[in-house]
Amino acid sequence: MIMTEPARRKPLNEEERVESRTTQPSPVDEMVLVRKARQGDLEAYDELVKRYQERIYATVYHMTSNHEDANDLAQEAFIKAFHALKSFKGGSSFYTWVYRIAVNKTINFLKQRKNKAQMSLDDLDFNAEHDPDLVALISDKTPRREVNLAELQEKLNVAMQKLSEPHRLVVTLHDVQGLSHEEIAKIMECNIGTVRSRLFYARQQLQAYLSDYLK
Amino acid sequence: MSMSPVPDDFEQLRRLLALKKHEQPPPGYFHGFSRHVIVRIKAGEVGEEAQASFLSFDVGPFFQRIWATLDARPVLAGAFGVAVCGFFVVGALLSENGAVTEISSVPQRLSPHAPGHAAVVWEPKANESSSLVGVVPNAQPKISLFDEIGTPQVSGTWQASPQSVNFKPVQFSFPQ
Repeated sequence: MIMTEPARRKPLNEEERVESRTTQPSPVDEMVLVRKARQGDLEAYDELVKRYQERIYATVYHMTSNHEDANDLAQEAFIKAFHALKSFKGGSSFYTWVYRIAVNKTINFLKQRKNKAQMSLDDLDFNAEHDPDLVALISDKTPRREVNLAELQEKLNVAMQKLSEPHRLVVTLHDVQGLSHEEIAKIMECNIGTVRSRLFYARQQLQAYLSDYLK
Repeated sequence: MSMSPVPDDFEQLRRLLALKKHEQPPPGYFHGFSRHVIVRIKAGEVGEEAQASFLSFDVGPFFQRIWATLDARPVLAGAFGVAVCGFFVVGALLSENGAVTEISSVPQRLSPHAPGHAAVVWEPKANESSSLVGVVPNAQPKISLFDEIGTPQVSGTWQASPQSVNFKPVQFSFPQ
């Protein structure tokens, strides 16, 4: 289901943004919570879920372009992570480990869903209209001047769905979520060179699909 | 030599991809997210316990567990095999002894026409009016249904006659 009239959300004010940046969990706290959760402390695990839920959900959502699927997969990833906590050795951060679980789960789901993709896009928030990048993109210099944000959102998601899962994942993690090549390499369990080459190829593909909307 | 970076061919695309950052789930969605996860974890644990208790009465998983246990422990499997063999050997020996005992202990079955076969005769004597005279019911084992089927029936009703029945009189005396 494609929502053609996305609602605009109230943006976070500067104070909230600063707060969200300063409340980043420290690794020590994370390990304490992981240890407690491993012993069956659900309150500790609840805290871990709250810390990473938005990023995990966003990754799964951008991979599936479907809110309901993203909801299920993100929840299942956290549930699976809880049951697999005993196997978590601490070699990587809990965040990377959960990310890996969510990504693998999503890729498996997408392989099964092949050719049955149905989009159910989240609404655009209030900031979208004022985003300087987007304002520039839909200015009179854009070939498709009549384009609006909702249409652009739909076309972008359709183009994303045309990419293979590994290429879509690299674009999602790097260009949408802002993760570094190193972090992506850890999550995808490949080397940085592979990440870079996949990113380059995926961008080329996207550019070709969206040529009508790019100068 | 110029150190300026190579111009990025994907600048426009990256701007377009910025749109994805503004896609947000419904308001308040994340407020209940962790709660749903915890509820599902708890529900899963309860479900697993219930399933485990249910399966403990199921025959299939019971044998599967035994098989898995034996498969994992060869020594135990060997001991189990020896125990099963021993059970069969002992069973065979006991059945042989039992068969001999049965043959020697059970008297030959009599036909209804043979003397002494089941018959109850009430024959009071004239000079023994105060005592009951009777015949002890024959303690022979009953004829099975198959024997009865195989037995040729005499036309009319067979009646035991005093001549054909070898009865044994027993006297019951009552205190006066």
